[in-house]
Amino acid sequence: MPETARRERFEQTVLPHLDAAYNLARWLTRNDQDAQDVTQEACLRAFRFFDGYQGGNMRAWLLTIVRNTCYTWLHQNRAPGSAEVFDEEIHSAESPAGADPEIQILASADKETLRRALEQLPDIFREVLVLRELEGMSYKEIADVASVSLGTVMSRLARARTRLRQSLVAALGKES
Amino acid sequence: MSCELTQRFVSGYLDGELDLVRTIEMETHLKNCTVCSRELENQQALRDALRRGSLAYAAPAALRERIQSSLNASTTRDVPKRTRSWTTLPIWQWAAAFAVLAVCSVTAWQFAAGVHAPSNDQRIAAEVFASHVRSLEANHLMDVASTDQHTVKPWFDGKLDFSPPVEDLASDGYPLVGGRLDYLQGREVAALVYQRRKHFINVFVWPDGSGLSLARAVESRQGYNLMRWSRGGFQFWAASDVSAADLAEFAGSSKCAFLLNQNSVNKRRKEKGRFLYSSLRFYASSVLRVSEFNTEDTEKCHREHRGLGGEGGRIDDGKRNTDSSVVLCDSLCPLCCAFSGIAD
Repeated sequence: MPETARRERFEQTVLPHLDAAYNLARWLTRNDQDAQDVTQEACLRAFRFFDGYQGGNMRAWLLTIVRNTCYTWLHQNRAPGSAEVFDEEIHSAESPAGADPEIQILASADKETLRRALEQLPDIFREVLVLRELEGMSYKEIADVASVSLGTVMSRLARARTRLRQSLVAALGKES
Repeated sequence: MSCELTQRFVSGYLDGELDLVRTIEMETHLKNCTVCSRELENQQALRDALRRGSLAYAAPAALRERIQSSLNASTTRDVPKRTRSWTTLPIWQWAAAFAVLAVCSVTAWQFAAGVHAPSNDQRIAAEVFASHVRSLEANHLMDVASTDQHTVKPWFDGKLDFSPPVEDLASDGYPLVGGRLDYLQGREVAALVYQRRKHFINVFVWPDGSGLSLARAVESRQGYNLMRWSRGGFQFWAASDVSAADLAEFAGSSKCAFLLNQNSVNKRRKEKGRFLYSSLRFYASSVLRVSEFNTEDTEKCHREHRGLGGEGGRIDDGKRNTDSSVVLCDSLCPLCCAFSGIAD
C-alpha cells in the first residue's frame, strides 16, 4: 500500500514534467527513439531516488536526472569519432560583426533551419539554449541542472547564441 | 562600461539576469552606442525566432503509457514478497496486528464523529471556490495592484481587523501581483493574488485560532484546485487553475505553510510503547519547530502521551531539509496526527 501511494504521488508530482524531460532528451540525443528510451530510464531512476527528493524545484530535479542519463547514454552509444571535443580557444569567435541585414535574416529563419542549426551546436551549448529558450528556465535553475556556476551559465549562453547566429546567417545568407 | 564588456553581458541583460548596478550601466551605454544597441536587437531577433519556432518537443503519448506501466510493474513486484511473509507470522504478531486494527477503528470512529469536522471544510471550500471564480469573472481581481509586499500589506490597514501576512514569492516563480478584500465565512478576509505564468492564484487569509495544520489539497472542482493550511494563528486557502502539483509547490514556497512528505514517514517502528518515526523530511523551505505548535497542545501531548519532543525527539532543531527523528505519541492526538500526516 505505501508503495502504491508512493507511486501515485510520483505520478502526480513528476509526470507533469514529462514533456520537459522528453524535450531535453530529444535535443540531446537528437533522435526520437533514443530520447524515449532515455526519458523512460530517467523516470525510473527518478522513481528510485524519489525518497531522496528534498522538496524544491521538481522540474529542475527531474531534468538533472534526465541530463545525467543522457550523457551516460551518449557516452556509451556515440561513435568515438563523432564525439565533439570542443576547444573553447579555437572556437571563441568574435560575435558576428553586426551586419545590418542580420536582423532580417534572423527574422526570416524558418522552423526547419532553426532546428538544424540548433542540432548542430555542441551539446553544452545546445542544452543551455534548450533550457533557457524552450523551457524558460532561470540561470539559477540551469546552473542546478547542468551543475555549473551561474557565471558559466551566462558565458555559455552568450557563446551559444553567438554561434547559433553565425550558423543561421551562414545558412540563410547563402540562400538570399 | 566599455563596448567589449557590454557585448559580453548583453545576453544576460536580455535574460534579465544581471544585477541592478550592471543593468543600469548597460542601459546607459546602450542609449549612447549604436553598435551595442544593434547587437542587442540582433540578440532579440534570435530569441524571438527561437520562441516563435515552437521548437519544443512534446512527449509522445506512447512514452507516457510505457512509463506508467513500467512504474506499475516495479511497484506490484514488491507486493507478493510482503504478503508471503504475512502467512508465516507467529501468533503474537497476529495479536499485535489485531490490536492495531482495533485502535485504528476506534480512532477512525472518533474522527468520523466530528473531531476534525470535515463538513466545515467542505463548506469553506465551496465558498472559496465561488469567490475565486467570481474574482476572475467580474474583472475584480485586485483592489490594490502591486508586486511590493510593503505596499500590499499596509493597504489592508483599517480595512480589516487583522493584518494578514503578505510575502512576495517571485523568486520561487510566484510573484505577488496584488490584493483585495473578500468575504468568506461571514467575515471580511484578505485575498492575496499571486501569478504563475498566465494563471492567477487567490490566497484567502483570515485569523483562526485552531493552531497549525499541514498544507493539503482539499479538492478540485471544475478544473480548479484548492489547498488549505493554517499557521501563526491564520487560516490560508489557496485556489487556482494551476496544476495540483504547482499549487503544492506554491504552498511549499510560502513561509506560512509547511508540507510534510507523507511518504517519507517511512520508517515507523514501535519502541517502549511509542511509535518512533525516523527520516522525516521537510518539503521546500519549510522550517518546522515545536515552538510553532500551540504550546498548550505540545505540552499536553508530551505530558499525557509522552509524544513530541520526548526523549529522542529532535524535531526542534529547526534545520532545513534535515532528517530528524521525532517521537510521535501512539494515541493519535490531533497534534501528532497533523505532524505525521495521518489525519491529513
